[in-house]
Amino acid sequence: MAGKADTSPVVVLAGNPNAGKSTIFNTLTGGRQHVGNWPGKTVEVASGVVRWNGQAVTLVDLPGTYSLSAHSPEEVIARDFILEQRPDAAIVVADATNLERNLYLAAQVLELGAPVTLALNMMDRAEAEGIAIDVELLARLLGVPVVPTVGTRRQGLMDLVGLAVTEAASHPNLIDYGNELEAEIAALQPQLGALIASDTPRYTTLKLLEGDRLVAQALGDTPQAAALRQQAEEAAARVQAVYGDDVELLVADRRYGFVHGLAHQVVKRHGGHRPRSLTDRIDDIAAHRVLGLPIFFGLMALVFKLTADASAPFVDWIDATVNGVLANWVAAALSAVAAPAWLTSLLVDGVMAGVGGVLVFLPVLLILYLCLALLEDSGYMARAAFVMDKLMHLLGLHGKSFIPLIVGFGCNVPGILATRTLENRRDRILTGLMVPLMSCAARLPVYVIFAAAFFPRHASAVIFGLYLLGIALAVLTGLLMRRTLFGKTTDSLFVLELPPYRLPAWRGLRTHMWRHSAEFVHKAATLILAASVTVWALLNLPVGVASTEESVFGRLAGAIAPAFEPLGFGNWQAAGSLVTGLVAKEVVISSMAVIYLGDAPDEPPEPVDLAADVRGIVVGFGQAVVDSARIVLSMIPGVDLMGDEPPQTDTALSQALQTHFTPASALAFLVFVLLYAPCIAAMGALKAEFGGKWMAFSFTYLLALAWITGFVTYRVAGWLFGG
Amino acid sequence: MEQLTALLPMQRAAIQSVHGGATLRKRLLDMGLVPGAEISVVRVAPLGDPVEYMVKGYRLSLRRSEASQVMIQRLPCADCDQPAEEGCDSQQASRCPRWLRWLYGGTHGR
Repeated sequence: MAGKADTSPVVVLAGNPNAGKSTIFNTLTGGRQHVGNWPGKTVEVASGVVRWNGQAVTLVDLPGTYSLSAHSPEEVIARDFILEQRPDAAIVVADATNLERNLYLAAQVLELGAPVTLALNMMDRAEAEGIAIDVELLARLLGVPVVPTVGTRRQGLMDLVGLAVTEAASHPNLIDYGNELEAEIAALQPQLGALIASDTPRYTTLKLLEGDRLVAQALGDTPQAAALRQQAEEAAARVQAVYGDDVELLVADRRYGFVHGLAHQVVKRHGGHRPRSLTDRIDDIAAHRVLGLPIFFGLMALVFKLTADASAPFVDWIDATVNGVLANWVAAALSAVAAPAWLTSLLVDGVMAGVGGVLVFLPVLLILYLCLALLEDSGYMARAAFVMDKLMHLLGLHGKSFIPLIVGFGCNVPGILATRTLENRRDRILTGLMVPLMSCAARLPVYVIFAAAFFPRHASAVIFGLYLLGIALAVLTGLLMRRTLFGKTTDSLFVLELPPYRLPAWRGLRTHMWRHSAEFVHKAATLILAASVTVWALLNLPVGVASTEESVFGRLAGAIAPAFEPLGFGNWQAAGSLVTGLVAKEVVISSMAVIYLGDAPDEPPEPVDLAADVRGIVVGFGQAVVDSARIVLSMIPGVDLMGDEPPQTDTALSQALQTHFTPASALAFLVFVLLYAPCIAAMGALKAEFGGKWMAFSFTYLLALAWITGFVTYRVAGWLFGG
Repeated sequence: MEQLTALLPMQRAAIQSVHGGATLRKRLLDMGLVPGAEISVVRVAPLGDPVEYMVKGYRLSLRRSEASQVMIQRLPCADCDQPAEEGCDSQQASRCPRWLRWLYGGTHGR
């Protein structure tokens, strides 16, 4: 078919999950992709532009689906995109090693009336498995161009795009659904045409007979529409009376019958008994009855260590660069032009601290997304769900929910973002609400200082207990929310394909890493920056304020302090440090140091030595790479390149804390720090993933949970410790 | 006719009918669990649920609650060509120590 002459043609990529669709998309578009909303759609699909024959062709990567019914959000997105945007062509990417199920989707895209080109992907693998496909025969039987492809070879893929633009063919009447059903379709179709203008009357009629809710609703509220719906129901009942099966099953059965016949004609298997594949042999170990779980936990420990530890040197490097060197440059530049002190303070302590606060997440996220993409693209993610599902299902969650929770122990932000690997929105939200209860690494310094000051002999038991409390409350939260918030919906389906193991392609991993990390920075930056500037403003207003206590911040802290009276720490210092802890939990300690021990005197900006600074930044990055590599190597059992770090103790702060807290109130304070809303960045992540409403809900819920649990802790501990 | 959950590892069956709620049923049909399709058990997850099946040439895992909605008719197993019913079962039992069967999912059919 000829593309529309005046505008650039739009070509969609459709296909089963794991058919290699994304690899083809990434190979064709390289890094030049754009994730955005299409007109009238709130759902994001990735698109990119390729040049073919001097012509710009827009490629759209539809979500991977097995079908195009209305039973999952991905399917609705893919279907609506084809129906509403009317792309110039659709490339259906089919896995040649599993032709039948892949052709089932291709048949549906054809029934939607879209001009189709079929890409037979992974032909090399199919040949290795002894599967031969008669490509020409398939093209003739299906009436569309069929191209064998290998997802990572760009040249063949360009030909595919060219063929799609010039020769894709549509066949909306592909499948004969049998006398009874065809008669009903023929009877209803003209009436539908009289009611609404449809480019795909046969498809819409068929969906109406299947009882598709969305299609039925789209008819409208007129009496004629209601009459048509009524007729369709009666027709469906007649068909059921003849076949004994309902239309939905009949349609799936007929369609599979069609593609089964097709596959039977074009696929030749040689070599009688199929040898056990590599996937079978890997699964004998990875999904083993006994070894399966230990292997899973080992891999999770590795992911956790990588995101939490291997990223640390880079986090420190970014922090030192932005808040050290760059901040010093800004301060020096401002003092050179005799800018007022408050402006310097705003830019350095407010804005630049906020920018740094966003950028420090980049290394964490890049490594997290690399790990997730490796798990996903290699095929292991499905096995992880397979071995963990029983346990997670007890909480009403999907097997894959375990991964975000584990990652959350390192940092809640990537944990929340990792919920994206779940297919069902309900599971994503439920897991996202549980992640903040996983005690992240930033909370640890607070535990360490307090535990050392108040429970020196049982410090590790106290810290371990806090982690366990977080997990226990997460489990309770899961059970509670499942019953209340999502009470009416049933558990999501598991039904999960275990795809063959594959070696992930670096191009795909790289795209995945950058795209998702940039997305977080883009979405959360505003919130984090605003919070940083707000805290700065509160601390420095009214103008010329001398001490923290007299600032707006100190007065606000004093005003909310009584709320913490029942928890044993109703003073403005504790309340204030909790508020600053919203910026990042470890800030609780530095705030307390400032509040209890007094502010460090303002240092004048150091003289700027540009060359030395730049050298310092470069050397610092090199050092970070080396440190990170050492940390990764140290994960190998028996290798220790790290040496033991001396524990940090702050005796002055410990003494100050002992005069302001009792053991009972200290414990209540720790419980509160564990549970109350995680940092502003985690809130930003919740907002980015689930929207402002869920963020507000999570914030309120955690605050209430923290207060109640802190109160109970204070009372029980007070009774146990005798006062 | 019996439920798919009654099938043991290495046994084969033909699907007779698919039940369950609208969403589950449609999903199962879309995944190729249509009447007449051949299905076999590959392995059971470490905690006894879900179960991995081979259908239409690919691996699919289903929770027991999902598999119980699929009705099957046993087929003679590929290796021994014994008549359906319990032929395979007894043969495997004689060939394979009990602990090894457990290891590969022997506790499957409850």
